[in-house]
Amino acid sequence: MPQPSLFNRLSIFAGLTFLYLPIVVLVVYSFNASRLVTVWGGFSAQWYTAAISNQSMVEGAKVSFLVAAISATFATALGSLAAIVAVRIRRFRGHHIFNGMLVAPMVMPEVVMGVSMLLMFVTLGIDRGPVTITLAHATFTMCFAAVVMQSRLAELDPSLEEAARDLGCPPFLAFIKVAVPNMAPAFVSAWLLSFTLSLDDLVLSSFTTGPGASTLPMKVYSQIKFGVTPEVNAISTIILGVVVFGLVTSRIVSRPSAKSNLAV
Amino acid sequence: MQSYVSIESLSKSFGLFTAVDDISIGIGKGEFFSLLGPSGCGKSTLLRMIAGFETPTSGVVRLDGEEVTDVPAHRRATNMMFQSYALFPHLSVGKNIAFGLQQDRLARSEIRQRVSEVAEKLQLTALLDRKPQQLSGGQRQRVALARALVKRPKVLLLDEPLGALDKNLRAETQHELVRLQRELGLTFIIVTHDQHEAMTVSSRIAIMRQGKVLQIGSPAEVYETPVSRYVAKFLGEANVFEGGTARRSGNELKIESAEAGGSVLATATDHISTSGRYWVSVRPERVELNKQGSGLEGVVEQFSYAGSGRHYRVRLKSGATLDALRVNLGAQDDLSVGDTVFASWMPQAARLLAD
Ligand SMILES: Nc1ncnc2c1ncn2[C@@H]1O[C@H](COP(=O)(O)OP(=O)(O)OP(=O)(O)O)[C@@H](O)[C@H]1O
Ligand SMILES: [Mg+2]
Repeated sequence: MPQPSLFNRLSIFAGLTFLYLPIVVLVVYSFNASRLVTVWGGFSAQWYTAAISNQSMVEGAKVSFLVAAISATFATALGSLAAIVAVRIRRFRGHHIFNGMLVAPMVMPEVVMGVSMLLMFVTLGIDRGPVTITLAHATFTMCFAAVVMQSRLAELDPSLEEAARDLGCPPFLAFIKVAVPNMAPAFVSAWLLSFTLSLDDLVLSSFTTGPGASTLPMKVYSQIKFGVTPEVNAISTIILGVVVFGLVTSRIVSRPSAKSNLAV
Repeated sequence: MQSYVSIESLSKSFGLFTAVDDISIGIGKGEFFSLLGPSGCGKSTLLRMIAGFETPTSGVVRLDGEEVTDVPAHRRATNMMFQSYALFPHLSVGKNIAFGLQQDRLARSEIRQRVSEVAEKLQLTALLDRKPQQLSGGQRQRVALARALVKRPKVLLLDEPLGALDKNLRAETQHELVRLQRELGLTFIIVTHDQHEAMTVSSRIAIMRQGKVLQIGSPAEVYETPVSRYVAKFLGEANVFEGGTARRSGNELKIESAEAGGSVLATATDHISTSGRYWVSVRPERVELNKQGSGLEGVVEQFSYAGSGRHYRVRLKSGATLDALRVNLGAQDDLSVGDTVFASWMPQAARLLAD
């Protein structure tokens, strides 16, 4: 591989700095001993202790994790079904529209989705709270889960299931016994992706929440209105850690390794 | 003879494209039958219709006298060995082999016994706990074979089973397949586009082209008496010249061929008339090359040494080329590039073709 030129190295450096400097600042200042957010007063983990013992924040975290876990489970189930239709029943009438509609929510403005879901819940007379947040998150993360499942399903050798059928397995059982175990990494990956997307969502949650149900990002956001405290830095760093862990695990699990993928 | 596997006017179209076009074949019990043809001629599609993976557009498939055209794959007494082997990556070799028996809900002890039996037969006993991705290509191939054989199918279908093996292993495995097939008394139908493989293993071969069967016969029949120029050239090498006026004396024909630039010999056959367009075909190993004498005159243009034989390409005076093969009997080679030679053959070495 040729060495990148000085110019290229500089531009990568500038780009990465632009992207990650704010995050670095956030993480560094979460360990600040000083009360003032922008003045360095020595190293300390006190804000983490404060965050963990802040009852309201812990409540928010509980709601967030519960919502994320349940909505990710729904999203993975629905996304897998959509992926099976898209990959296996390829040439049905309107499959182009179906495939387009499946990924459209990825680029749809969240505000629009939020408003429409709020309207729907109001019209149907559903009380807003953790349940509606979960439904909204499942809807919006489903398309991401579907894309992950779709790519794994597409690279799965179709003759595996044929071999199972040939050996006496009815088609549906062949899918369960052969395709599903070989898609297990994709399930994990889709679930983790949906989970992290749900965990850090603010807009949809704000639109679909009701009294007394606040997710962690909502709590952070409302606290920031009274000024940034080092405690917020600490909480944000924890969220960041969870999200990065989720994404990295998702990538590692879904990577087509020699182990999970028979080359021949 | 009652056919064991009987394919009657079978066709399969994908949209407007006809992949298998009105094919009828009868295959006897215990045969090793090959479907041979170039890529895309419909071999796999035909095999998959016998296995039950494709629904025929029209026609009938019978197995041991029973019509199975609409029986789904999982209830057919056929088993298939896939070109990609299609071993289940999440199961060990032992569980791969046992998979089919578990579907039949056999007793655990019987499953264990049959798996170890077939594993022994195919030298897989030491590998039963491995995962497929921990095996070599040849070992995977044997696992795939074991997995299909353990079900004791009426017919074993093999789609290019040796395509992924290197040449030496391939030859060895071909003999192994024949030995197994004889020992077990099973009916094998194999798809291949390798003519040597088809000739080596089969009791009979069907030569296919563009969804149709051109000829069915034993390896010797299709090699010695091809029905068309295409078959003659597809199965081995053949020198083919268009024939002109012919003089008959007894069973012998003396044919003037403008393409060959002289007269050539052949045996007369009843079903081909020498008044229309026809061709004369002769295999390279039947061609004799002499430095003097009579026959078609030409110049040795190319020579290649192939170990078991010496291959010469002769440019005839008419401009056509002629291939000749001399079996290597250890004698000194007396021909070299640039030599003038005369090519001839016995009348029974050449065959007339109408197409
Ligand atoms: N599901 C399908 N849909 C459309 N066309 C198909 C389908 N399956 C096969 N074909 C076409 O049918 C023709 C025959 O295919 P088939 O796989 O039987 O060829 P083959 O003789 O096995 O070739 P090869 O030696 O390359 O495996 C090909 O032209 C192929 O493109
Ligand atoms: Mg094929």
